[in-house]
Amino acid sequence: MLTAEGITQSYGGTVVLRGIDLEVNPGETVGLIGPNGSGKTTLVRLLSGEETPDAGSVKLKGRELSAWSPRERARRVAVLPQEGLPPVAFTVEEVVTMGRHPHQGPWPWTGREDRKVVDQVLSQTSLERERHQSVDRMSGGERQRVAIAKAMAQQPELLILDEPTTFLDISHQLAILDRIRSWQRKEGLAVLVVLHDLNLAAQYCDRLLMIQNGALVREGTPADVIQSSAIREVYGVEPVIIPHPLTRIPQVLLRPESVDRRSRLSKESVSFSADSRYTFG
Amino acid sequence: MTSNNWLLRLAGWSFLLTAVLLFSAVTAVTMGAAEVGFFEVWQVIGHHLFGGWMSIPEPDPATGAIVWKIRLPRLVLSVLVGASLAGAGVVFQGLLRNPLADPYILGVSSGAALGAAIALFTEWGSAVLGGWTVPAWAFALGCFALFLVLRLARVGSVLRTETLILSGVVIQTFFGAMLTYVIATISAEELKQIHLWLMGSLALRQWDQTMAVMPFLLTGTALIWMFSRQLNLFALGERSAGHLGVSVRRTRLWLLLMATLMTAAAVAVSGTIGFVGLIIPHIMRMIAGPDHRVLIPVSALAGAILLMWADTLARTVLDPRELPVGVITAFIGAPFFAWLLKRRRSW
Repeated sequence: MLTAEGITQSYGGTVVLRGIDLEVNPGETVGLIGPNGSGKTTLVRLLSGEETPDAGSVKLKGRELSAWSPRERARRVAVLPQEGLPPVAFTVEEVVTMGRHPHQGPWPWTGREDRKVVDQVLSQTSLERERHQSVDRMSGGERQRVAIAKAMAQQPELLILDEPTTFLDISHQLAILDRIRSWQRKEGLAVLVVLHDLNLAAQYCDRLLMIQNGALVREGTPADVIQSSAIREVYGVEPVIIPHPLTRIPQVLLRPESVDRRSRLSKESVSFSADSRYTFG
Repeated sequence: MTSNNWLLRLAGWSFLLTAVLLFSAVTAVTMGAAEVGFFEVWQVIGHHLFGGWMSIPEPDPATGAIVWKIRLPRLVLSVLVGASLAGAGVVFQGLLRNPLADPYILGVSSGAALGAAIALFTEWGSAVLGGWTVPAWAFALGCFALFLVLRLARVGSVLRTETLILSGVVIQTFFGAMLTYVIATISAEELKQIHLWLMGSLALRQWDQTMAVMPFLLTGTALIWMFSRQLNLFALGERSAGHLGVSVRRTRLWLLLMATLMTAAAVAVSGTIGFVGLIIPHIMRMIAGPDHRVLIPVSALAGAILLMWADTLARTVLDPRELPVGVITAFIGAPFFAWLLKRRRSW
């Protein structure tokens, strides 16, 4: 679906990305992880066609991304930016209908097909009751649900998300990621998601790409990437990694400095954490 | 069922405002030094528009002349100018995502006024441009002023409200000074003209001036309405608009040019009338919602009504003397602006 080869990008002499290769296939969720300033957001801008790389190429369905018109591209790629949906005075229904824009003609009105899709999306996302509610009266988590519904109305084949859960509480984080996963399963969507939270990334992604200083350092299944050595190297912290008691997917626990000093206690703290309800970090 | 309820809103508000506009127009024409009755106005209009097919007699030549030659052209012009200033205001506020943007505050009006004054008093370029000299100059300098304001206001890549307004004030002051200078050096005996350009006035306007700006204002409003869905997407932010398939740069440039052209055409015949483009989009957004498909037409209608009444007041309040109409709009607009500043919510 989306392939990138050797993308390199620099701003004012500073190299932000160096020779990144990646691929996102239909039906697959690829997670992009890495510390702040590692170049994740720049990579998302290049992969969504907002900017073109200094060197290397980004191809959507085998065709250079810059060769697509913005409209054609928007029919295939939906992007949820980090800022999410601003508190606009439009109603939920109006915002979801905005997702139909790339499918609509030059006239300002909405067609029958558009209304059908919007109705479907509203019922799938259980937003029917709120359809006439103004978005500026909603919380951040609810707005993110509307943003996802808008992306669904766009009917893309590739969905790019830049830290969709950053400002949300744990229940909204799970709700959003579950919603995206069930949408993906149904439509065979390709998903590329930037996540800060390594535990969520491990649980929701089929493949992880770890970047550091603009270069790809690890790539593979969550079990391949979420390893003490990689996390120590890239994030500079000493993690404790344990399998999730239900899914066996590796989960990262953090070790405060004080625990390090009392290293004899560390074994106990691990077993305590594994039992606790805070495995999502 | 998903309703197309913006269409209902548009139809309802347009019908109501058009009715108010028509009723106001006829009432406004009766007002003034010479007594003219309500039905006489209809008679004169009927006589001129349909006199060819139906025999509608003119009440008497004097009344006919007052209505058709003096009051009506000016009234129609106030409608056109009010509609375009309000329409341009909607575009500026929507594109810049800033509730305080309007053609006057952004300095576009001052630039256009300077351009129009240069064209009128020097007649530079009239050999090539002919009848288009004044609007062309007004447009060119209006664009220049807008360009300067946007350049000044941009800190990094963000456009902050405070800096935008300050830049507008700077450019407005500078272009205002240049305008005064140009008029003072070129025609010392016509210093009264400065008054007209600085505060805006529709006094002594004839049909030919009204007809000259009409195409700009009508096509301008129609064209920006064609972009109303894109303007809605801009409310989500320029990045999101881009992700939804809007060619952000091209659309923004095109809309800014259209709004500036509408402002320039209005300013070329009326000088700088402030606050219409600020108040009207605001009030209409509050009562008719943020959807630009509704907002653009209803704001144009409401702007027309506001300026028509403002101009009627301007010519009757101190009768037989005239007030510049910009004085009236500033009396209403400045307190409104102050109130907005105090209760401003971020968009």
